[in-house]
Amino acid sequence: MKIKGSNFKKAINSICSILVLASPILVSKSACYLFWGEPECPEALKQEIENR
Amino acid sequence: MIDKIVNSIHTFFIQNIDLEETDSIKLKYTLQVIISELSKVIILLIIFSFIGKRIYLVYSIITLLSIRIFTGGLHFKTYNGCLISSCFFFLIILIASINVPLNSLILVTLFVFTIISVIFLAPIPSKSRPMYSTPKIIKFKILGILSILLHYLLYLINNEALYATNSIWVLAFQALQLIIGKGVFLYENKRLKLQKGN
Repeated sequence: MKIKGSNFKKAINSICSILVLASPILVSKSACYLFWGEPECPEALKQEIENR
Repeated sequence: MIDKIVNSIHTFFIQNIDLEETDSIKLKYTLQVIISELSKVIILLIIFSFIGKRIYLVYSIITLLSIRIFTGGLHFKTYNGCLISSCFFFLIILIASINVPLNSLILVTLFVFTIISVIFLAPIPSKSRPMYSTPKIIKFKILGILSILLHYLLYLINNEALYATNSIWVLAFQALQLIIGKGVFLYENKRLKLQKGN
């Protein structure tokens, strides 16, 4: 059970890292997403992109 | 509904992993984007499956993905507004694609209209995004133009392929949307200036 738990934690960690890494890529490499509505881009992310 | 799903996934991650505040914000944003876009694809797939035209939707989404991410366009404030307009957009393309045969005159007209719109108007990003630098704007324009050229080349190679004919209409309606999007942008700016003046 301990090994299972540890593997699960690793998998969650990897997924989370990919999702965190994806946000600046999503904003800086595209001008828009596929559909007609977009969530509000967080201020921290806006600044990170503008300072690049 | 979408917010609830996003919040519960986000909470699950936070409970299992130590995240800095900035990373937590970024995580939530990515989740919002993925879940919101995926849910719309699924809903549209269900609607188009009911009318038996799912393949048109799939082709339209592929073409749209290749151009809209570089050119931007109209945006709606609410999830439902976005979903209804998306559905309406794909239905118009379906109707045009089935009912209007593409002869040389229509093809050239649509090509000129699409290219000119992208050259002069693209990109039109959402208000919720950061300001893009001039080199990045030029890069988006070039990628948008390349996507148009590639699709027209595909059409010239095989004009009987469903994907090729459908993509010509997707590009044309996307270009039309850029004009409407620019109009909305200019109108809102003018209104803001008037409000500040008062």
